[in-house]
Amino acid sequence: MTTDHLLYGAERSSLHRMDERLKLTGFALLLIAMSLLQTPVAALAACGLAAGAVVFARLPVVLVLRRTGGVALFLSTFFLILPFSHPGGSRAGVQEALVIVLKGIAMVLTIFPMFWTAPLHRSLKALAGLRLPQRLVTLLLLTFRYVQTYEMRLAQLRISLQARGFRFRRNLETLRMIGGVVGLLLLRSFEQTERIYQAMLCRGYGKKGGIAEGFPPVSISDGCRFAFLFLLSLLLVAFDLHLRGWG
Amino acid sequence: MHISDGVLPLPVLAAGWAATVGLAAWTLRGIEGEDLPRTAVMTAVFFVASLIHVPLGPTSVHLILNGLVGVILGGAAFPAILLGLVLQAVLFQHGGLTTIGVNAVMMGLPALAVSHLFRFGRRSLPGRTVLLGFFAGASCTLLSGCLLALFLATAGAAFFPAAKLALIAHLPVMLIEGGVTTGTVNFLLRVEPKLLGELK
Amino acid sequence: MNSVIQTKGLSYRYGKGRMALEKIDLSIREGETVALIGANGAGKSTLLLLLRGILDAGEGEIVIHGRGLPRRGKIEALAGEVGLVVQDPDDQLFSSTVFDDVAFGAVNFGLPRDEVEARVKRALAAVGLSGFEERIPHHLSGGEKRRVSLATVYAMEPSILLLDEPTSHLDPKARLEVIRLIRDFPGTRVIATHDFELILKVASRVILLHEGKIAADGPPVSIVTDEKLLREKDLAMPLVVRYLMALESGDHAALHAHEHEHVYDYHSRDGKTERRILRHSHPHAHEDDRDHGHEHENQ
Repeated sequence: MTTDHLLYGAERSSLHRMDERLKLTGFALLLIAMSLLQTPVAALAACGLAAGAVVFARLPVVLVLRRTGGVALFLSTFFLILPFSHPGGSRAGVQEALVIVLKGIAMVLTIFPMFWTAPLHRSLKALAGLRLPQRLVTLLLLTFRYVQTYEMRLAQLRISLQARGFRFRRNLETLRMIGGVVGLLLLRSFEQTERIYQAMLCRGYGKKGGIAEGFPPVSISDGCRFAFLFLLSLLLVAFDLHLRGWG
Repeated sequence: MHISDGVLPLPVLAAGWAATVGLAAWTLRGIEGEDLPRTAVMTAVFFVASLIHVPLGPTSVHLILNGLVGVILGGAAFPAILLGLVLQAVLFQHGGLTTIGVNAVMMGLPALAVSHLFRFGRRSLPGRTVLLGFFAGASCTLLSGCLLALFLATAGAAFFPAAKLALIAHLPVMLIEGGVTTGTVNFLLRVEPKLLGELK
Repeated sequence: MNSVIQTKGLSYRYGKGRMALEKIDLSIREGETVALIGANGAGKSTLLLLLRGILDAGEGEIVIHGRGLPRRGKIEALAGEVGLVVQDPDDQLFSSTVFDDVAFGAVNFGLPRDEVEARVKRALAAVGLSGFEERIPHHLSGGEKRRVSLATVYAMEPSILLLDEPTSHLDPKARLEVIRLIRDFPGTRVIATHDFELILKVASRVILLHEGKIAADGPPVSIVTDEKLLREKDLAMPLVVRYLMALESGDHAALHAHEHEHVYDYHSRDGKTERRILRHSHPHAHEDDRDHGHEHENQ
């Protein structure tokens, strides 16, 4: 589950080789542009762009479609609500719902080329290169590291509970049982952090603190890729404004 | 519960980000030394626990546990929830990236409130900790639901019914969150009570 | 006598519980390899944490390389001299790549980037994991995790290495590999362990801890073959050691299956014969000969 993305971080396209700082910034601009869209046609164009990026990055289409489909289904509930509640009438309601669903799909699709084209820890470190607080990035890296450990421990606990006859039921006892399991994991993690902290101190943690990562200077081709993403964002917004009759 | 990418207008998203940056800067200051690995590793546990799906009616919902995060981590609950949202968006595409600001406010602010209420409650109602656990889990969900409805309503009058529906959908989740939080508090009370509201 | 580690009257108590360590007087010379043995809770790990400066001694003093530890900042003061490999690699390896983990200590020393990279390269080569830089620690095998754990400490180039149960939970091949690596480390080593093979292969001295006190201190062979001593101090002599002893003394020992029983026969040269039944054909028969106690080997 939490390790799905690792399969696709290896070099498969030029997006995989792009400097993570520029990649993240470029796609973030694209996401902001997408969130500004108000017409269905522009939102559809955004979906096309994002889907193009997914294909270009040679990401696993089936998995991407499954994840995107889930979000689209969730957002589709607006089709059941907005046509009846929109002050501009049912037609306006349908259009607004359509914009929401299409924008949602486009933005979910964009996350894949943005984050699934590099090992996650590299993207997270790039956040430090983008001047995010060092402490926050260190927290993110540590959390991600131990998510994988505790995912495994939860699976082991689940097996041992099932081996002793535990089944999920629709009652308070099941909830309390789950709560107990969470408590046990919390207790273990609390005890473990003391040992992790000792191991960190032993290796001089605290003098400089956190991660020290050198970033290479930006290459011209990466600069071009970033410029391309920036241009796409501008074009998308301009297209939307044009459709709304702004010239 | 969360708001997906594509629903809210940019000004609301921006306001959410502004509030989140402020709250994160404020709450991160206190995380030093051993608090840093502790916050990170316990956040990992909360994240993993939130992947547990609990049957609800014909379907199932995943746990949120922001009330429990508040009870256990205190002020560090806000960064913990922020970290969880980032990982969730990146790994599972749940909740979206542009919405991290509003979602962090929606889930994190109630967690901070509940953390204070729980600590206050333990001092004034000794011996009622397990009950307080249920209250923490349930009330945090309710507060989050209210904030969710509020944010949806900012998208325009057309979204008022959606906001009401979202709030109603939170009612059964309140029971689930209350139940699970009770279980955790009950367990920790017997095994290691110092985890309940004594961490920073 | 150049002792690199010295303790005088070292005591430690967790909270208000019983003494974890009581008046430990110890002197370890340069280049020695000391195995700390003892039952669970005897104080082995506590002693290692004290020697590394992580715990504050209640009483007594620790002298490393002729210098007493400062009251404050012990952990930092020892960083370049004493390396500690903790028992669980999941505690030792907290970074997102092998490179980051091995580099962590060197980076915190404030070394320049190329020196950090050179040290990581050397340390990984020393544990036979060159080219593992970009691997993710969580995805390594148990044996690889142990070896990276060693590398994280090697990269700080300590002269004293403290190891807490370095071979536990490893499969036989990985275990032998780790033993070989520990043997190749060119410095003073203190190893808390239950692994008698590790002891016989690398230790020059064994210290037996029992309830926080030193119960025995001597050459490895004389301690691990002293069955009475081991049993008194809540330990047990593994069958392997027993077998090695028989071979050593020219006695005859053999392990064989007899009907459905597993039998260990021991014939000494002076004509005495001893038979130990390891596995009975009748599963409940064990309960009848508790008083022999020999079958409850743990190693």
